[in-house]
Amino acid sequence: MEDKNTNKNIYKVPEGYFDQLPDKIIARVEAQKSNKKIRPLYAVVSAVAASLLILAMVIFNDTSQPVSAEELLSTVSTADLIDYLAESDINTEDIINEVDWTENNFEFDELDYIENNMTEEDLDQIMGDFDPDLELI
Amino acid sequence: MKDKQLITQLLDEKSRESGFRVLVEKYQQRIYWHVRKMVIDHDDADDLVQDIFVKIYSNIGKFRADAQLYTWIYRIATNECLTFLNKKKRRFLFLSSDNEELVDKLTSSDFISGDEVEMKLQKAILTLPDKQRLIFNMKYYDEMKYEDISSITDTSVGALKASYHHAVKKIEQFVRL
Repeated sequence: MEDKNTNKNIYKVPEGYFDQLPDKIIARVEAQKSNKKIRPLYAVVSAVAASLLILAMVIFNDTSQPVSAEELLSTVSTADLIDYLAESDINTEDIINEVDWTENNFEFDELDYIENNMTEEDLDQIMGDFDPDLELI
Repeated sequence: MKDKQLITQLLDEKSRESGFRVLVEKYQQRIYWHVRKMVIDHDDADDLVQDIFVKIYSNIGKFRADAQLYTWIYRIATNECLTFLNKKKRRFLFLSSDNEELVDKLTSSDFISGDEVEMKLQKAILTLPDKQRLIFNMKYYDEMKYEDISSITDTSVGALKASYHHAVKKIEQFVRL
């Protein structure tokens, strides 16, 4: 199958690709709807905590006093975390991809506490990152 | 189905899901080709197109009924393309410069077939900066009006005309070499 400008287009797609694509997209949307119900903010805050922990380990590199995610997070206010997310170019997927979850056994009680104290305003601010009406040029 | 009718369906939560399927079926090819010309590789385009439509669904509530659906969709697709390309460049900064990786894909990816002249034209287009390449593609391949490209890219019609003119000149120079 080809683009409408056949004589100009060298790109092709597998046979039947556009017949299957809508179903793949609808399945992704359904999956996302299910994931949204499972606390999306939890993943973001967890990932930020993991990043901060790794950063602290690199900077302080003191093996005699390991820093836990809870200890580290206790020094960072919720407002700072939100500001960090709003300002940075980082996204959840990037952070999760960078972290080796098998080597870091975090306990998330403190994170649950933070998440439960998020206001609607806080959530809106974070979700502002995902606004499609971004300035392009 | 006309866009106006589709928008009404999408903005009503009860009919949103059926409306969304109509939207995907109506726009999938245009968005795919728009993306494919930017990322070159079919698998990358496939992933990105899915991401774009998921994003469209997530943000459909923010769509203003008086805006044009077609330019809104293209705007999201265009932003996603640029974000994807920037991320790739950051990741492979130490490996390649400019669009070297995309040029490699042009010669090595599946689902690409063109003669020598067509491949040279594609390589010439890949010498353009990404934003200029987007503008060139929208004008040359998609035959869009400058006014529509202006809404999508938030750039004045005058600046777009200048950008397209420079792009054509650069491509002509490259092809002559």
